Amino acid sequence: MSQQDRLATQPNEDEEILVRLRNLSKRYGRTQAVQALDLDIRKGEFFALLGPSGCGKTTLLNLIGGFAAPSTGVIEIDGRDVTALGPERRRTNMVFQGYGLFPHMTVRQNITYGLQIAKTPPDETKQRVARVTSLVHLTDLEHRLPAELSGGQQQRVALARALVMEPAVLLLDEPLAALDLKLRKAVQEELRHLHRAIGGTFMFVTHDQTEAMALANRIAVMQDGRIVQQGTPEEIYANPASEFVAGFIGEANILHGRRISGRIELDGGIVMADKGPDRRVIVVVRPDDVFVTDETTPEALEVALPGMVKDRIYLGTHDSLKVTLDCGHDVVAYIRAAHGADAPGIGDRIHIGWHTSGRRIVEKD
Amino acid sequence: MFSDRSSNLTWHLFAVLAMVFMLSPLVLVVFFSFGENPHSTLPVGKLTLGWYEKLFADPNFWRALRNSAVVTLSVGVLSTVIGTLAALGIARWRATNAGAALTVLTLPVMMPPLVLSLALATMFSTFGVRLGLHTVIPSHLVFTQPFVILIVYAQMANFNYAIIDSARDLGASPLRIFFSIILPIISPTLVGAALIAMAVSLDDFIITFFTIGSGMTLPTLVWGMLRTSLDPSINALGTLILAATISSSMLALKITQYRG
Repeated sequence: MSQQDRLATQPNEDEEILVRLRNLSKRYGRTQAVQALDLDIRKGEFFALLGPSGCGKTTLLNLIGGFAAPSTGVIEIDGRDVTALGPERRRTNMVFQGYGLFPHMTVRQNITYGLQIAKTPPDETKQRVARVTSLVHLTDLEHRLPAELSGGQQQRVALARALVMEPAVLLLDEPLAALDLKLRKAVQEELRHLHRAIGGTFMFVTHDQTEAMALANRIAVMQDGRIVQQGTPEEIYANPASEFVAGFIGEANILHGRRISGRIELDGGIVMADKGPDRRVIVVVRPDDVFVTDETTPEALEVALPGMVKDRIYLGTHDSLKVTLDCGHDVVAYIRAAHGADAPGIGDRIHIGWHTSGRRIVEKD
Repeated sequence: MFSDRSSNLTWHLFAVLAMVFMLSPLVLVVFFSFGENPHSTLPVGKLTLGWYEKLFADPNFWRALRNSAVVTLSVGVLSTVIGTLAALGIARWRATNAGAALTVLTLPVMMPPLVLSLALATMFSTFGVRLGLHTVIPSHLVFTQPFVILIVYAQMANFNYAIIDSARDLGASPLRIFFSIILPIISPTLVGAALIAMAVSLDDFIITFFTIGSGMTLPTLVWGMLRTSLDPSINALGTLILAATISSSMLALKITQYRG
């Protein structure tokens, strides 16, 4: 997705809120799986619930789908309170992690199961099935059994079976987890394409930040049953709200220190100017915002710190340098794959630094 | 000392002997049922189907066959329905509780049949229940159901519950889910379980003997014939029971894909 696309799909306040969660929580025995939270999902969003395993993201998805009853709070879908309704009476459809296909039914029977229950007229059923099978490229496989399909094909059946119901929100539980790396890229592309083609609202759960960044136009990062930050992928990447988010989304150098009277002092004596109250902070610098310089006082960089190259990994589009600073910190820097002799090698002494715009200060709790 | 080769041969010989020892009585029963010799001794004489004719001419055989059919079919249906419902329930319990329940439920199979028969007979007489087929059937259920429960539980423990959630998600009611999803998926298992229950019920003697009163089934008929006459029509009957039991068990194992 290009920058322009992203901007086009960025939510604004006028857009209609489709799913509204208020004070929603879920407790299993002594475990508080989801802490009381509020969340709005707008029409047309491709929304990711992102977090490590056990953070409550799947529970939250199950609450929205109606597979678990919340301990407190209200779920509204399309302006209607559905908190007390089961999944069979909600306008949501779920693509399960294991797909949950009916093994004794053909692809077509799987896809028409829900339409039959809804007593959809045969003509309409035919049309809707034809549309959805061509969308997910299943037209030639309609008479196969699930066991005769590959993993990727099975997932497309699960998608078709949910999409044919024309849900207000399509829920996807770790949609790519069961696929191998190559297939994952293809399915990512397909999901993005589907979302654009249908213009529907998709909500998915993942523990993989690259997946969330690649698919979603809005992300909620979860930790210990709470939503710790939400926003567009760019916002979260550029402005992580906490050390957890900074470490979880993308690669980050995280440097600990404290702010004392308008100056950040890192352990080891690195000093930067920053206004704000005195407290413990972390400085987050993305590896692609770290620059290598041979000058000790370069003009544009905020700091220039001496250190030694510990390791260098060639990654095709760029090199990853691991630099141990003289003050003791390890910093990772991405540099454009350099050709020729000027590229620093292992054991070289260099200076690294960053622009003021390339680092974030995050206050610690 | 044995050389490698002769020791190998010895083991083979031992295995063959053990098989002969275990199977020869069964083979003899079948063998004698087709021979003319009325004393069931060697030589058997000419081949004949005469003993089967004699058996089929005996009204007691037909009475016993009818009773056995009633008991076997009732036990097959009832133990499958009840056992399946029990297994579906237990499969939703936590593993430790389910394990305890299964242990208790399978106790009747591990108990000596004689003790179980005595217990059942005592219970019926205590409550003043007259004996007959209606007491044989529930008595058989006591030791056939565990097989059904264990087989169906094993299937349900591995059941992919995302399938059920998917069906709910698509709007299906619990009843519809049971008939359109669960039943079709587990039906081969159910047929297999029913056949095993029927095979166990069909050839039971002790429990039937204690709970049937004055009636008879095929196994109790064999016992009765043994006491009055020892001619090869017993062997003919034995061969028929053997064939029925083995074929239903084999069918059951094939249907449930059991790989021992």
